[in-house]
Formats: sequence, structure tokens, C-alpha cells
Amino acid sequence: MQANDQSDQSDQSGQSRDLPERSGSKRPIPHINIDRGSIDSGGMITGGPVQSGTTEWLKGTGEMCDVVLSSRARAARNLAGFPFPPAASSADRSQIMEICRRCIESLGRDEGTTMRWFDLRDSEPIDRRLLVERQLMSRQHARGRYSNGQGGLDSPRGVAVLEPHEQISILVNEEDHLRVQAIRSGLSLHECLDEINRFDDGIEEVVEYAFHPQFGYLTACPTNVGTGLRLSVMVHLPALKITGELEKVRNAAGDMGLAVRGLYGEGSQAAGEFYQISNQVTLGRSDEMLLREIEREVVPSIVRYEQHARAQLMTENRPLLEDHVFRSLGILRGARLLKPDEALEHLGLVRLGVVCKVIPDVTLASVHELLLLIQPGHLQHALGKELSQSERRVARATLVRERLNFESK
Amino acid sequence: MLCECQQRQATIHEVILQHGQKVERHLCEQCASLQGVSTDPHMPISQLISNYISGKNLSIPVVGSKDTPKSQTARSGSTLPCPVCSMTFAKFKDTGLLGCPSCYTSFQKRLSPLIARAHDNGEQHIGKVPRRALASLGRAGGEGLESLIGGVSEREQRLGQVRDKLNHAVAHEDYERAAMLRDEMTRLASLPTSPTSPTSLSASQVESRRGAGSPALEESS
Repeated sequence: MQANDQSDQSDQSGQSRDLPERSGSKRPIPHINIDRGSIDSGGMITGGPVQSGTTEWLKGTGEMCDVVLSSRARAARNLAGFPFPPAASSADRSQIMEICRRCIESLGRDEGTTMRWFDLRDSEPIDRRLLVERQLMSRQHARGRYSNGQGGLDSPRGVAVLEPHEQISILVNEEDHLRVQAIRSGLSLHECLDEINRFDDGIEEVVEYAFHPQFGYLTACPTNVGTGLRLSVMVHLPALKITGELEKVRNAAGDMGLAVRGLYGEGSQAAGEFYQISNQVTLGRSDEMLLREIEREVVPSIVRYEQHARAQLMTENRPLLEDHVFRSLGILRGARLLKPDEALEHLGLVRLGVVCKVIPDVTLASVHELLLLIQPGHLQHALGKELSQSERRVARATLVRERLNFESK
Repeated sequence: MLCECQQRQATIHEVILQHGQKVERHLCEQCASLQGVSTDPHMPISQLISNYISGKNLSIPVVGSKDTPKSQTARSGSTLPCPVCSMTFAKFKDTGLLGCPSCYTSFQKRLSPLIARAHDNGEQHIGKVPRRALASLGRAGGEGLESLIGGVSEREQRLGQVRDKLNHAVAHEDYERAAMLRDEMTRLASLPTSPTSPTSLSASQVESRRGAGSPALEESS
């Protein structure tokens, strides 16, 4: 999801600034077990439309879903014997991508699911944008530019998405060769981790991972070594904001070595009081320890804190709660122009009203769907054309107004 | 302030850390250049940082040195680039990105303290191990393996914690949680303590991590 309303400049600029790179020494492609691929998988569909309806992590179901929107886990993995993507030549990246693509193609899947492969070199900007807004890949991956300045739009890279639920996506040639991500609605980190392990094990049957006895799984950036695992949970804490206790949570999480970020990840602000809580440390703590700490200890206590604040508002200061909630609903039902942050802020409060059953005529599903559909890429996709910033504000306000007024009839 | 030579005004001020002690020096330009202290005011900050990190004028406490395999210490202290991808440590300091998996052994000595700092003093990987690495480590001897999967002491500690929680859950009649904790204890206890053969270890390790839901992948392999 994009927090800002600016169009992605790098997508328009078009030209890659790949510096002259070392000519990649040709390595033989490791043996790949093609037989298995053709037996237990129907292969992979290449290209095609990115889905545009609501998605798994916005279902609004699962454990503690009144506070927890979604859980996400991702594992960073690299192939042994190849340079990491930011330092690799374009030729190396192509070769790595081919190995990874064929490997993903060979993975077994559940019946009724499709693995779809997007080669991001020749993808449409709108597709890249949709993939980012649906949290299936990072913004950095859309741009193809690494933090060391290498790469660019035509840098060899791709993403595989498990459809229709989009619970799994596998990024190829992001900062690491492979980043396997699983996402679920509600508090469900262990399921995400199980899912990741399943794919991780499957990939490892085909390729050899870079691993070090002391440092664990090796990654381009040393901050990810060890398990290579990032677990994150998206929580909605509007009541703690109203009662002024939010800072306590932020500080407590920080003390426990957890990062607190805005809804859209690194560097984004937290409009609407949606926060992502994730681990920073990946070395010296096992996946199980990390999982237990976040899923069984930290998040439940934050959830109880928020629930307590909501209950307190409901019993002791209901007019204050209702005032916040209905002002926001009023703005969303009446506005003719909406900026993204403004829309998010008010949707956050409307969500609070829905969960606390103060607003009877709006469903959680429609609030969640709007969180996705108000983003620039989804707005443009729905209208089938490029929109300027002011056109997007009109389109956003129109969409929100229609959805929220329709339900009241 | 006068220079150490007591003749000219000191214009170069250097602060050195020697064995944790701060040592200040105040020199004039002539003395500074004689003693090899840089007087170039336009030295870029990244250069300053890389000089600092590469160990000039600084003794970095090497936290992870006891875990460093002996075979790698010889070249890991040098300023040579990684022999595999020719990444330099200075370039790594600039970007925060390493060039290839071999960089971790090429720069192991200097990376260890930085990594420990970034990971809340975590120095040793614990947790999932790729099966191929598990097999080759098993052949090389079970010593490193023990620490990878948590070690005896760590496991005992974890078992103790789970046992406490289990007692608490039973006392509060939270039987669902108690059942979950009991399963966890069984799983922890079933991890092998001293591997007899690499194959038996990897099999049980893999099983304990994969759980019941192993996909069709297993069957065809």
C-alpha cells in the first residue's frame, strides 16, 4: 500500500542507470530436478492480470481480529556460490532469476491454487503498483533499484504469487535472491511460519542455500542473517491513541527490540493508527523463540491493552468515542476530495466504530476493502486509466462515499 | 594550545581510543605529517569511517572471536578484498551490503562485532538449518551442531520455562493452552542431545520442524 499520493517517479523515468558491471563469469546452472516439476505441479502461469479485488490479509477474520489486521512472515534466502543481487552483474542476476524461477515452478501446491509469475522487467507500471499495494512485494522491488544504487527498472527480477488467496509471494532478486513471504488475516504467525517453511523446504530440495555455521542463513545485509526471518503483525490501536497511551506501547515494544512502523512499512507514517510490529533481531534467537515471543507474549498484551482502552471509552467516555467516530464517518460520507492520509485517518476511526458496534450500518469487510481500494494503483485500475493527483482525490472520495452510503440504505 | 613540539600552535587535534582509553593529541601540521596523522581536511566522511572501522587507531573488541574457526582467522583480519567477489570492507561500510556469501568468511573477524551489535549481542545462529548444511556439519562432527539447535543448556532453560507455563495453565484450568505447552515440551525434549549419526539427526530435526503437514514434495523425492 502506498501512503503517499505522489506518483512513483522512478516508474516514469524509465531509464535504468545500471553502471558498467563486471562481466559475470559464466557458471553452470546447478542440476535442477525437472522430473519432479512435471509430476506434482501444474507449472506456473507467466504474466497475466494482477488480481484487484479484496485480498487475504484484509478478510477481517482470525484470532484477535478486532485489533490485529494481519500477520506476515518472510524468510530471506540466498543461493550458495552466487553474488548477492545488489553486487551481481545483470548477467548474474538473469542466471539467478532463471534458476529461482524454475525452482519455484517445480514446487508442489495445494489443489485449486495457481502460481503466477511476474517478470518485472517487462511489466506494466500499473501491475507493479497493484502488487505493491496488495503487499505482495516491496516498493524497492517495483523500482528494481538496490540501496547501493545498482539495478533499475530493467534489472532481472520477478515475483511469484500464489493465487487466488495471495497468501504466498516469492520475490526473486530483491535484496536477497529469494524472499518468501506468507500473509494471513488476524493473529496467525505460526501458520505463516509453517507455510514459509513448507516452501522453503521445497526450494531447498532444488537449490543449495548459502549458510554459515555461526551466522546462519547468509543475506546481503548482515542485519538479516541468522534465521533470515522477519515476523510482523499489523495492529490497529485507535483507542490507545485517543486515551493518549500509544507512546507507552511504542516505547515498550522498542525496549523489547521490536520495530514499530506505519501501515506501509519502513519510513511510512502511521495514518489511521495502523502499526506494524516486527522483530529486528534475527541472529541468536530461533524461529520458535521469536514466534513465541511475538505471537504469544508481545502482541496479545498489546491487544489486551487496546481492548481495555476501548472498553474504558465505551463505558466511561462514550460521547468522546462517538464524537470521534461519527465525525469521521460524516467526513467520509460527505467529502468530494480525499487525500490518502485523510482517508486512512477517518477509515481508522470508522473501523473503531464498527468494531465497537457504535456504527451499526457499516461492515468491517467494506472498511477493509476500502483500505485497499483507495490507493492510487487500485483507483486507476478501477477506472481503467491514468489519473492525476487531483483526479485521484475525486475518485477516492467518490468511491468511499458510494461504499459507505450504499450500506446505510 | 601549543603542539607537543612546544614550538607551534596545535591545529590538528586527534582523539585515539587505545584499549578503551581515550588519548588526546594536539599537533601542529608539521608534526602531524611527520607522525603520519592525516591533515587532509577534505577527506570524505565515508573514508574517515572506513579508516575507523578498518582498525587504524582503534582496537575493536572482537566479541565473536572465540567462535571463529581457526582456519579463517588468517585472512579475515586483513584489509584484502573478498577473494570471491572482490568486495572491500570499506565499500561494505558505505552501503551496508555484502557482495557474496564468501564475504562473511572473508571479513568474519571485523563483521562479528558489528553483527553482534545489530542483533542484541546475538552471535551464534540458533534455529532452522538447511538440511544439506545439517548433513555436512554432522559429518564434520556434532560439536557445532549442538549449538545450532539450541545446545543442552539452552534447551534445559527453555524446557524449564515451558514447564512453568504449563503449571500455570493447569492451575488456571486453561487446558487448551496446557495441551499446547505439553506438545511443545515433548518436541523440545525429543531434539537429539548428542547426535550419533548425521542421518538420524537430520531426519528427526526435519520432522520436528515440518510437523504433520508435509506436502507432496516428500513423496516424489
